[in-house]
Amino acid sequence: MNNTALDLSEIMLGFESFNTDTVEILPHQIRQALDLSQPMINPSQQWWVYLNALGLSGFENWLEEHSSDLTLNTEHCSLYQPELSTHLEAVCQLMVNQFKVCLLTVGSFTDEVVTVPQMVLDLPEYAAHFYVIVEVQEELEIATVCGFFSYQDWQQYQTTTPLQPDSDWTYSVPLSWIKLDSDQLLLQWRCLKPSNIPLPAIPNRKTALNAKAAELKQILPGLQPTIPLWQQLTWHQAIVILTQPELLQWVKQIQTVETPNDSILTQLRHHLGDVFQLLTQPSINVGNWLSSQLDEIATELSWVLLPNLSLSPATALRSGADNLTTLLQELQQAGVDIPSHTGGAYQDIQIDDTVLRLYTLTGPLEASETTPEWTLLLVLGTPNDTHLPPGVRLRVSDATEVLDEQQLSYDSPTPYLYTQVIGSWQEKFVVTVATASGVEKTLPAFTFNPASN
Amino acid sequence: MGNPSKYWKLVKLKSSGGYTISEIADAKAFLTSVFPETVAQLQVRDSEVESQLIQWVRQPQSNGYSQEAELCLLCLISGEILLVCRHLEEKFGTTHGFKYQELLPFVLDEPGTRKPNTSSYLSFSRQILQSFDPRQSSLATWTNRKVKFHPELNHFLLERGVYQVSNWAILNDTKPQQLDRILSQFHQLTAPEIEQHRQILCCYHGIYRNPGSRQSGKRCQPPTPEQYQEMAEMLLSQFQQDCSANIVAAQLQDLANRLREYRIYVRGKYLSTQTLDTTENESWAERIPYNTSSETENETEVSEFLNVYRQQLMLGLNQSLAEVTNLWVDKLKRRDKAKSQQFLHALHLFHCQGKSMGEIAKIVGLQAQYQVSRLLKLKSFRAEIRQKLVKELEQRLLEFLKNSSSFDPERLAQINQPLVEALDEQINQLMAEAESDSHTAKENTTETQFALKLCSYLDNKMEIH
Repeated sequence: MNNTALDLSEIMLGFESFNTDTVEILPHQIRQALDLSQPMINPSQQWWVYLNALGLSGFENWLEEHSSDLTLNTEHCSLYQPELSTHLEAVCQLMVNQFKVCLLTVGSFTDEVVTVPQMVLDLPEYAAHFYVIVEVQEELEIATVCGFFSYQDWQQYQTTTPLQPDSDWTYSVPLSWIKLDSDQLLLQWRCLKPSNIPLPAIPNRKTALNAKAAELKQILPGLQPTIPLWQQLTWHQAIVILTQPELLQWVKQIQTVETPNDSILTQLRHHLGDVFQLLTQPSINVGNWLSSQLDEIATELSWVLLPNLSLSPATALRSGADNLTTLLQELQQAGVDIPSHTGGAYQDIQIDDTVLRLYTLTGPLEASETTPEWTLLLVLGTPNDTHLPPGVRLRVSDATEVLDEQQLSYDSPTPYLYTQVIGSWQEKFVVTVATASGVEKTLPAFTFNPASN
Repeated sequence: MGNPSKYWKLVKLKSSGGYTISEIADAKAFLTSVFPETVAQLQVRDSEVESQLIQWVRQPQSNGYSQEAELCLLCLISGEILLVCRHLEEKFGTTHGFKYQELLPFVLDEPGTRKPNTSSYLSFSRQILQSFDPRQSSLATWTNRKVKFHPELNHFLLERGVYQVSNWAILNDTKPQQLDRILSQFHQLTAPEIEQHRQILCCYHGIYRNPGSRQSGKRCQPPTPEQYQEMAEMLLSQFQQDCSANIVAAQLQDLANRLREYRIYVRGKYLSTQTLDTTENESWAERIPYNTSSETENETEVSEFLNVYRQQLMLGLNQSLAEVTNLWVDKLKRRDKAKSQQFLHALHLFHCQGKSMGEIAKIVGLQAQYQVSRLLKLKSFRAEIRQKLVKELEQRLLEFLKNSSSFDPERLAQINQPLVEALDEQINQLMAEAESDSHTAKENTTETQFALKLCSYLDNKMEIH
């Protein structure tokens, strides 16, 4: 780092020249950057997503030009996840060979510090082995890879001269901490192993999630899309959201509602409750039902197996749950696909004075595609086969949205509600039952994993 | 204080290229008559003379001097223009392949005659004079600025790899949060002044900055009068700041200048212009020998390491060289077959014939030296060969470095530095041989082996294609 006096002719001229670390950004990359930035609601975020996208393209071109043996993997890149990129003025979750890399884009204005989002340094979920500074000259359509620091460098500086985060959840990292030598960077990628730069382990976020659930359920529905999160939440609240993809998705939804009206907002609020249920409560593995077993939680909640469903659904239902027989036949006639390899169980649910019975049938779907899927058929009736009270609702959500919500109308021809959802084996579903008076009961999430007990 | 002749010597473009300086008799006679003493002393108090001349030009009805005064100022401007162009060549001309004579036609078009009343055309010098505001700067500074921002001149330079960031680009990429620190610490503005700048910047971003609105391939254009007007309205509605559109424009200009000044300061301090691959200009003999005997334990270790390295180097050198060259050629070929040929040719000229970047540019058909640098990327090319070697030698090096289970970044940097020097020295050695035209191989030395291997490899490669 030299400290030479300012070159006078430089002041007078103010011109700069391309160097060998300067690369062009191609027209299709600029179009792609525009596409990525357009969905952003806040104009300022729009600009920085645009600039970050240009930075990523510049970095890609630079790596292409300057090395033949290093591979960039952008599969999980934060820029392609709008729910993340909208809160993040950096590009993280990149891989160069086996290294995690985070790009910090600076624009045409060179500052003595580089602004680094707190989340890419303080949250292990987003931490990287290397933080690479890319300067983007947007109007000239060029980018320059200027330098880098490693996580290890950061930790060392934080021990000797600790930085405090600014109120906007960023660190102002001095340029003097940054190694302005792209060769060193290539060298380290080629010759080090990721284990040489230990990254912090991702902590269990459950406790904080549980502790903050109630207050977040209150605050999140009121988030303003055009105001950055740091002006609306505390950092500790933000940690919970930024480390749970499901909550990030939810925040994105509420921030991108085009015409907010009561029904959309109510549904989003309902879904938020379901998401927290999904994240904080243990789930019931309905895969066990295929082998006529109940797991601990199902037992605890008094679920009752429908016997021998795996042999022949119709027969089994006739023997164990007569009142469902006709119903299933009706559903089959209505075109509902009841899986051939089925397990089932029911639970009686009491809400105030009303007792409802929720039947669930589940099974794997014929593998038509590469990812195996499962189905969950839900039927809400009563224990004694009487008509459901009017106004009763049945809602199913997954992590991203409310999938279906059925409400029994006063003149409903059928005495029950039903719905069917399909998902991959990784997906969970949350079911909520509500009475006309608005009292809700959300059940533990359902998962499908026949192999485990 | 300056020589008064600049007020009557006009720099003019020659039709054959270049420039001439002609003495404008009217201007000389005029200046001598109105400032007899200073002219006689051959020393002029510029600010005094300048402001008087401006006053005469701007208030033609109050005196009869306006045309003569204008001629004097046009002479002054022409001299400044020449100066800026020469500076540009001095700083960037060699590397980026241009002469100041090529810049002059963009900015030097004043014939130096009295202004004909009929013509509506304004020479660039007259435009400078007309837009000049004596309260803001001196005429020389103003001329300097106007030349630097001349669109065609900028375009010409950009094509040769020299650029200047526009005010609008700087303002676009500045966050309101950054202003507080910079304007208070660097410019020592007061809190209310900073707040005002911050508000103006926010409105500028809101109205002007939209990634979708800019046409690709075009530099940022100044905001339109309508946009300035919208900014003024936004300032009033959002921040209760009542300014005219003109004031908004002036304030943005002021802010941009301050940010640019700070930017130049930072770049001068930290990012002093990186040199291109001009190994030819470096004196290889001045480099520290890589097998230097060292006193400290650390350096002894490094030196021992180098002996191991030298033994192992031969084994991997040929392979790394071939692999990396092949990969680079393939990579270029995928994009542009001609370019891959150009690359090989240039590499051969540089390494095997010791040609300079400038010479290579002419031979392979590129405009300027810097384009050869960008084509060859010698720094990266050598780095990749070197780093491939390091990787291949890793196991043996690890054995040597018993204490560490593997590299850590610091150890790696420590090891890399002598490697950089060692390999650079070999390449320099090779070049020295090439320069002295002594291709007589000194058998069994690393240096010559390196030279032979690289060149014979390149020779082969080029015959095949």
